[in-house]
Amino acid sequence: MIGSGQPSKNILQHLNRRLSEEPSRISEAKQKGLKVIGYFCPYIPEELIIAAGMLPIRLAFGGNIEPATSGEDFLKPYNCPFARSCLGYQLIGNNDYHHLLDAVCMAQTCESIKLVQEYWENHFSIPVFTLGLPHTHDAFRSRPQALEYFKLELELLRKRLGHFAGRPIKNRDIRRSISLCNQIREKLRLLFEYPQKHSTPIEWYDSFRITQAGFLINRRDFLTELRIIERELAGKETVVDGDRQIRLMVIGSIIGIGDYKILDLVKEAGGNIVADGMCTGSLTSRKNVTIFGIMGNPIDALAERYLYNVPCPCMTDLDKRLNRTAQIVHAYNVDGVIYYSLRFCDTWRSEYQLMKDYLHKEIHIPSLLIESDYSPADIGTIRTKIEAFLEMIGGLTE
Amino acid sequence: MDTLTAGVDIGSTTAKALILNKHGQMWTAIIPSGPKPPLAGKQVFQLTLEKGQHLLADIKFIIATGYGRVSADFANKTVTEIACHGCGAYFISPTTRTIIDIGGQDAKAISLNEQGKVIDFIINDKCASGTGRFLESAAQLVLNVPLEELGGLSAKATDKATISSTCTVFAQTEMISLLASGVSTENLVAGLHSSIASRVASMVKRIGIRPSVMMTGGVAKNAGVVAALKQELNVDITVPSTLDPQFVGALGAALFAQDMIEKGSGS
Repeated sequence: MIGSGQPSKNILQHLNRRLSEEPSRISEAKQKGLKVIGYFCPYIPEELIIAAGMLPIRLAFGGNIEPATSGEDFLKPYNCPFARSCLGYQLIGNNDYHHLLDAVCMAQTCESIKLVQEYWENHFSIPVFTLGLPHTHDAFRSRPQALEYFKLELELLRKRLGHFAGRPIKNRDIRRSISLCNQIREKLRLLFEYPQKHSTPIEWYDSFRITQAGFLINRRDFLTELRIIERELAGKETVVDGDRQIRLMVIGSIIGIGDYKILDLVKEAGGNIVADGMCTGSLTSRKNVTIFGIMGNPIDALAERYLYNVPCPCMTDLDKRLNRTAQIVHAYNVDGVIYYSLRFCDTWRSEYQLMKDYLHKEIHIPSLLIESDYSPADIGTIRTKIEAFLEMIGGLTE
Repeated sequence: MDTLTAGVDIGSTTAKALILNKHGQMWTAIIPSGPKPPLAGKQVFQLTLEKGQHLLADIKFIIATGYGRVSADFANKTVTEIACHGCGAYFISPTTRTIIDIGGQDAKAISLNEQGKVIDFIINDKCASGTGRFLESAAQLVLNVPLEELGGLSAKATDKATISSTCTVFAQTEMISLLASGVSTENLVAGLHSSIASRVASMVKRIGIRPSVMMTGGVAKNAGVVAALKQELNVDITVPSTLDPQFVGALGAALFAQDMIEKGSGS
């Protein structure tokens, strides 16, 4: 499933095999009492779920028209296709992971995701643990109380997850899961750092797919997979991307597991994505959780990391998104930014003009808006847009 | 021996081909794209060859553009219609900085710098509203007049009807009820043009309007839409006079083909 549409590479072989076995492995573990907790947005600390002895699965599946359409039974056709799919998969059962869920955690992010939550709880009768989010968390004046609120919300989530697991979540267990997740993040960060250079043993596309495999696989085993990949890369010859290839960054709405339409079109057109600002990409591994001192409270540490790590536009911190995009553009020597908005994604689409103006006027980098959904109908238009964008940046070369 | 190049622009509605020699002499042909765009591309290219009495072997480089470009296997290279319209318009008038291209099924706005290089562009991809198809369906299905006569009709309008629907299909319904309530055909057509103009104008404003502005594509031949756009954008808009505006993309492709030969990548 990871890497669809692309020839499977050596480095991903072991991981892909492991991934294909995953649903049946989880089913077996469930018979022995394992509980599976799904979540959508990366404001949910996986550490709490792991500390409770349960398996976190990030439900970030996309790219499939069928669940997006059947989700219209609940949401409107003009709700975002990702949110519609979240319900659609559960409704039509064509997903290997959705039926394994015992409960879901829902961070209160955008309006569409909030709507999804109501249906999980009331229609599918699956327990939902909500996590409140202070949306004005970054404004100078509201920062202290926003963080306090988020800590209280995390404490509450910890209690509810502990109760659901049948054992209270101890600080010691959270510390242990923080250490595991930090190790995973460190390894993933290294993978995303490689494409900063023109010669890299791994392309961004692969790092992106590896990250997404980590949404599904038992995290301890995922760490083992990352170690295997690390060894493979150490002995691998370096892929040199031609100097003439145009280096791109992709930011915007969620690009879920299986939603590779845009990425594949960019590749086909000869563009090279080297960096991202995606909540399903490099952002998930961006920062470690740091506990201060032996006596430090792990919940405080989680709050500090998770509230500020993914600057989704559903939160009020535009400046941070602009600055961070500029930083990545410089660090990765990016020639152009692809701004992806899922159709009807109010969260990202509404912000495009501000981002475009900033990129154009402040750092002189062109950007291209691509609005799309999971239907193949617009492939022709999108191909033209991407090719024209690459022609614009690079001029016409044979 | 004269070096000839060709540009073949296979659009959603029509396929255009243009053969160009070093002195700027051109031969053109246009046919409907029909259900088989790859075939239309070949046919229109063949027609152009015949018109100029050229042989295929005389054409040193062929560039295909437009939606059907990917299937044009007879071409040496493909270039997007964005770059081609930019190049063609700049060749016709080097003062061009903004191009509005309204084709059969989409509308584009392109921004050029002083050297004629594309610096920004926008393509509407919502639906066929505000495009040639919108006018075509109104002319054929509602008004029963030839497409070419719309421009002349709106010039005779005494007032303009308000068409509020943005959907091509709903707009038809709205037009029928306007006609039933006694609105004249002329006033209705004027309303139709201003409705297209306002939709395209809001798109063009997003990339910024820098004079001079040129309009290309089939809809540029409709004086009513051009006038409505001028009014909407409050700027003068030129339409190519030496070349049918539908061929600007094909011209750009043929010019790029000349570049390719000069750069030495020609066959």
